[in-house]
Amino acid sequence: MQTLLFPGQGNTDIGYIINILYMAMFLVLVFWGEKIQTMIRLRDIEYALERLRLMRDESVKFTKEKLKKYGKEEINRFLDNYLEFVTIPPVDMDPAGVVWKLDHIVKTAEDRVRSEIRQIIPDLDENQVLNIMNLFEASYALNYYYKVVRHYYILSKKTSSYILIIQLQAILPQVMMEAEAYLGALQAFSSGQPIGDGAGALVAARLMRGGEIFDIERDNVYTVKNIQGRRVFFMKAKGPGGAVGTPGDALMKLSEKESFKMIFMVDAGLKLEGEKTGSIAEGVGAIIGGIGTEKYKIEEVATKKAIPLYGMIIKMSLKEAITPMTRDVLNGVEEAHQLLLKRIVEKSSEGDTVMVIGVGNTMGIAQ
Amino acid sequence: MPSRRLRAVEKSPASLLVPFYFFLLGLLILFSLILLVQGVTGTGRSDSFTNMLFIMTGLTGLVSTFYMIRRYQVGVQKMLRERKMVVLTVEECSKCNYKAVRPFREGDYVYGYGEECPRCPKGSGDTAVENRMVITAIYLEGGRQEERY
Ligand SMILES: [Zn+2]
Repeated sequence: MQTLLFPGQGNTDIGYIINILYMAMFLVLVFWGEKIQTMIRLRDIEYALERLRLMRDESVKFTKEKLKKYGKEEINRFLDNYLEFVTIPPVDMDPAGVVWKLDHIVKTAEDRVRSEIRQIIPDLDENQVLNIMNLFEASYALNYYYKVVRHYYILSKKTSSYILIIQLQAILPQVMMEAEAYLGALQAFSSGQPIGDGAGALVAARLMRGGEIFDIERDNVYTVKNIQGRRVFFMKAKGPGGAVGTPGDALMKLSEKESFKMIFMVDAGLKLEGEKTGSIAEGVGAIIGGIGTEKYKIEEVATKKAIPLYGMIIKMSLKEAITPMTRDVLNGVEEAHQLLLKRIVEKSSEGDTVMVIGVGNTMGIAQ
Repeated sequence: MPSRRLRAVEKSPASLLVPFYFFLLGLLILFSLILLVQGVTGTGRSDSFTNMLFIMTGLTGLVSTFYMIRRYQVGVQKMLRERKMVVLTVEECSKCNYKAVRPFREGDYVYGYGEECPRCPKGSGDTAVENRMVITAIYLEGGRQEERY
């Protein structure tokens, strides 16, 4: 009996068949190699797209389930409408004053959603309305990811553009990561748990403890405290509902009467991969995210009155920013709290008036 | 649990992909089994190499299909597992500094009131709030989410 190292080596029937198969495979790869690769890549994208769709459905289902206890059918219809809700940004050919227009449009959109939710379920308190809005936004984001990926998937399939497919496939892991973060946010949003983005608000809340709380403008609270002879204003969004507040408006209003010597801002910031979650970065400038309207207002005030803007960022990933606050972020909050107290004393002198703004979504954090 | 996900997949007309995938896997199992049986029963044949080849191919086919099914299951479970997060609430008594950690309950929020302090004597009846501890932190147990990627 002969020993065979490879099948197809001997002159048996099977050997011939295997040889022919090898030849056929070679020819197929030469002529249709790229086509096959395209198909494989498209299948990958299709799989991701299917996952995105499932995530969106899961998120919508979860939200509807959560709202079931209020017994209002209408809210489901409203959610479906909300997913396709569009906010048209103002024309920016003549950019002067465009920030105020954008501010107006965004506030109108928010007011509309708020009042509609309150109309459908009248027995909600303000905090619950805000948390539901956050839940809706998670579904909105997931739906948006799904629709955009689907658009490019269909487009690249129609045009069978190899480059388009590769580009889409290249960004997909990042898109999936972000979508998964939003899916993970549902739990926090639905039960009102503090999220990582609330780190700045939590720093402010800690410093505000014991002071008398005043409301100012839409969704903001502030207090005044004496820290080693300095009059320090602490401000954050009004909790424990998932509000981000309007610190720009509040600062504008407060600075009409007060003359601040300096402004400190604390916010959660996205870290680069490899950076440590909860680490602190200090800097200069208006440290606040969002669409930029609040940032603009704060910069306006600071520039007009020549107030230095100091900032502090507590670093975290997107996932950590919108899911329940982790231990690492909490440690960062503790560190920022101590550092901020130190910096206030270092940078200002006795008798100065100082502003401290804790930026971020204050869900699950009162004051 | 996975069946819930599968139902969602079948609902969409666009995705016949998953049933088709399982249909292919079924075919593969059948084919592998036939090969395996042929290989085992055909021992009377003179060409023992062919028998060996049949058995090997059959086994490889079976193992790889089961591996593929397992991988699909793991993928489904991973997505569902990701949602199970344990959030803890830290309560502190402002009078005696007693500190307690318990699982988060809906309605908890930082600087809201928690449960009554077990160490302090019960208050004078109606002023129950006075005896309640203050929630000082709410955080995700384990903390590190990065390793999931
Ligand atoms: Zn006590």
